[in-house]
Order: sequence, then C-alpha cells, then structure tokens
Amino acid sequence: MKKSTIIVIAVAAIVVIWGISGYNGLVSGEETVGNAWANVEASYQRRADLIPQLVNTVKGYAKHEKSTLEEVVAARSKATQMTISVDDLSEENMRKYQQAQGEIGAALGRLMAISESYPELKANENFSELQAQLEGTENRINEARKTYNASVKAYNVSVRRFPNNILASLFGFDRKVEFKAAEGADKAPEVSFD
Amino acid sequence: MKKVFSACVLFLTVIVAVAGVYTPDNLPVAGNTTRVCNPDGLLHASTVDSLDAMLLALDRKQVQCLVVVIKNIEGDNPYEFAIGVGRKYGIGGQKSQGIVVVLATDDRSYQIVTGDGMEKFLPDAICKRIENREMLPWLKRGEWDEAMLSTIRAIKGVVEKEPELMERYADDESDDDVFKVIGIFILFMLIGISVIAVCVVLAEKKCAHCGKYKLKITNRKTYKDVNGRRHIQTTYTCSHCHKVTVKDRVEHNDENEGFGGGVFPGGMIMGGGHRMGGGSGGFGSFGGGSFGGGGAGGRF
Repeated sequence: MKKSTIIVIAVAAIVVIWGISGYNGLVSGEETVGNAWANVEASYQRRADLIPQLVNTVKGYAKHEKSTLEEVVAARSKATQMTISVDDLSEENMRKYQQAQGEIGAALGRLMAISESYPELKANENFSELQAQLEGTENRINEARKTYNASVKAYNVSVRRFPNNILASLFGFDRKVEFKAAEGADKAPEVSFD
Repeated sequence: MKKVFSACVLFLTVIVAVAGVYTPDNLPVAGNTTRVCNPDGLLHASTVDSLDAMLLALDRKQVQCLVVVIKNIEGDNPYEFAIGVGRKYGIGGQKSQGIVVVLATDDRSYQIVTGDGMEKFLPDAICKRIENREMLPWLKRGEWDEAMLSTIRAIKGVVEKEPELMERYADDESDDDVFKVIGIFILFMLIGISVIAVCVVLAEKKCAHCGKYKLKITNRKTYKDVNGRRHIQTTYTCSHCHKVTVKDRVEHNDENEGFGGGVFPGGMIMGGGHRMGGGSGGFGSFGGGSFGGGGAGGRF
C-alpha cells in the first residue's frame, strides 16, 4: 500500500472519530435540556394540581370572592391545556407558555392577597399548609427554571462553538430558547406568613 | 502608631460583624462529628448532645439531617441559605435524603428544606405543620433549645413511621460495605503474615558468609545461662560455601508463648471493635445530595 493511501485513511479515521464524539456530545446536551424542560413542566403541573384544593378551601371562608376564584380556575384550565415538547420550543411557544403560567401566578397572587382579609381562613391549619405547599412549589419552579436555563446555555454554547457548529448545522441541532425574566405578569405570588 | 491601632480596631470590628452573619460558604459545618451547627453558641451543649443522638438515629435510616442555629443570615433569605448549605455539602447522600433545619434568631426566621429523596416522606405541608406545632410556640418564647428538640423529635417521629425507610435500614448496604472492609482487612493480614513468615524463613536460611540462602541445621542444643534462662544454640552449615554459622537465642518462656498464641484472637476482637465503631460511632459522610426546592419556612 502506498504511503499516501495510509495517510488518507488515517486522516479519514480521525475525522470520523471526531465526528462521532462531537455528535454524541450534542445528543447528550440536547437530552439534558429535554430533561430539564420536563422538570420545568412537571413543577408547573404540580402547582396546577394544587389549585383545586386551594380554591375549595378558600371557597369555604370567602364566598364573596367568587370572581377571583373563577379567575384562578380559568387560568389553570387554560395553562394545563398547553404542553410543549422540547423540540417545539420556539421563541413564540415559549412566550405563550410563559404567559399562560404567568396568568396562573398572577391569579394566585390575587387569591392570596384576598385571603389576608379573612382571619378565620388564615387561622385554618389546612390553608396554612396549602400555602406552604404553594410556596414550596414556587420554589421548585424557580429551581427547575434555573436548571433549565443553565442547561440551555451550556447546550447553546456547544452548538455555536467551532468546530461543533459544523456538525450541529449538518445534523440539525438548533439553539434552544431560555426562559426570559418576568415582565410583571410572571411574578410569583406573594405568600406571607405572620 | 495611632493609624495602625485604629486600622486594627476597624479590622476586628469587621471580623466581629461578619462572625454573626453567615453564608453557606462561611458556615462552619463539621458533619462527621456533629450534625448541629451552633457557631454562635445559642444552644446549650446538652441540647446539642440530645439533638446529635436523635440525628444519629436518623442517620441510621440514611436520612441526613443538619441543624443550623445562628443569629443572622446574610441577605436574610433563609430559603436560599438552607438550600445553599444543603447543596454545598451534598447533604442527603446518593439517595438525596437530606434535611436542613435553619433557625436565625436575630432575623427571627426559620426554614426547613428537604432533599429530592426526602420530599415524599416529608412533604411541604408536613414541614409546615411541624413548624407550626413544634417550633413556633417555643420560638415565640425565645426558647431555642426546646424549639429545636421538639422539631427534630417530630421529624424523627415522621421518619420512623415510614416502613420504606425502616425496611431499607434492614437490608442496609453499608453493612455489606463493613463486611467488605473486614474481608479486605483479613486478606491483607493473611498476606502480611505469609510475607513475614517467608522473610523469617529466608532470614534463617541466609548464610552470613556467602549470602546464599543455603543454611542447613546440623546441630541444636539447649543450655541454661547464669540467670537461669534457657538458650537454644543452633549450628547451621552452608551447603554452598560449607562454612558453619552458630546462632544462639533465648527461648521464649511460657507466658510469651501464650501471648504469641493470643495474637490472632486479639486481631479478631480488634476487627469486631472496628465494626462496632462503624456501626455506632460517627455520622455517615455527606455528598451527592440534591435539593429541588422542597420544604417550608416562615418568620416569628
């Protein structure tokens, strides 16, 4: 065999090995982002699951706050209809998702605010524990979002960096979308304990 | 001179000011000796001991719980602080069964955070209930010791009601580890003993004249010296250089032989003691525990 043939084969082998390892790296990066997104959705779902119980408890004490309660229920049903798979996470979808979840957050915030004016409700142990659960759920959402954003950041860097960007465009690894900071609507409800 | 002095005073004030305000990074945690972090001395020593006894019982169920009682938290955010401490040390181990209980007496805030693996045993609502029933009444009276004791007692009660945790304790993996350690220990001891034996045998056979291991016993006699000790005099002949070597040694008396015979059982007892130490002494080590935001907190 000629020397030049051997060199060509060696170079080809190196390129193939580099391609495989680069591709696998991108795949596992994408998988991490997918996992993190699943966690985000799960923690939002957890908050949604808490709402019926919360509404029922508040209903027993604050009958006159019908509109606020209905608002929460409506926001919940709207948001739970919306699930996005990680592959469809475009800027537009992310904005919609954030908006829907933000509406729940805002409605819950109002619900918690009115509960302040019902001392009997505040003294109810069940309600206090629900509040704690809600607070814990908000914390979980924040943690899940932080983890998601961190994984997206790492993944986007790996997609854009040379020479991985060649592989990424070749095999269709797109950049993922991060969570944006709240524009007022997506604030966590104020839950105060005193 | 005055400048230096005032600089020193300023420096000391800064240190004193910092000492009472903690972040996860400057909090002194000695997880293997005590699970109670009491740098400001707010809890009595006897309380710390009682807490440690209970926390050790939890540790047996692979639930790692850290109690932190301090005056101030930097930034006055007990949730971030508790979760920061939990993550920094990986409290909860591989199963993430970690709990961090924080009380900041000057901030008048408290927080319980649970690791990912602990959330199903200690959901947020139960954390809140424990805080409301067991912690708050004492905190309002400023009785930090009682507050922590009854809180940990309640957490322990919840954990002990969990059949899953109790079962897990029954087929505890760490017990296997202990046996593995003992097995390796015995193996090394056997290897060591055989190496020593071979060395001894070889040393006996080494000829001082030509350096070859070819000495053979040709004569052995015993006699008593003036002190009444029995000597054994052995005559060796080298089969390589044919020179004669005479070695003389005092025979061990019966007591010494008895001691020699007792070496192995002694080793066994030591091994047993080591295992006991692993079973009832220190705490398991931290590492690997993750926190996802579970728990509850509040102010008083």
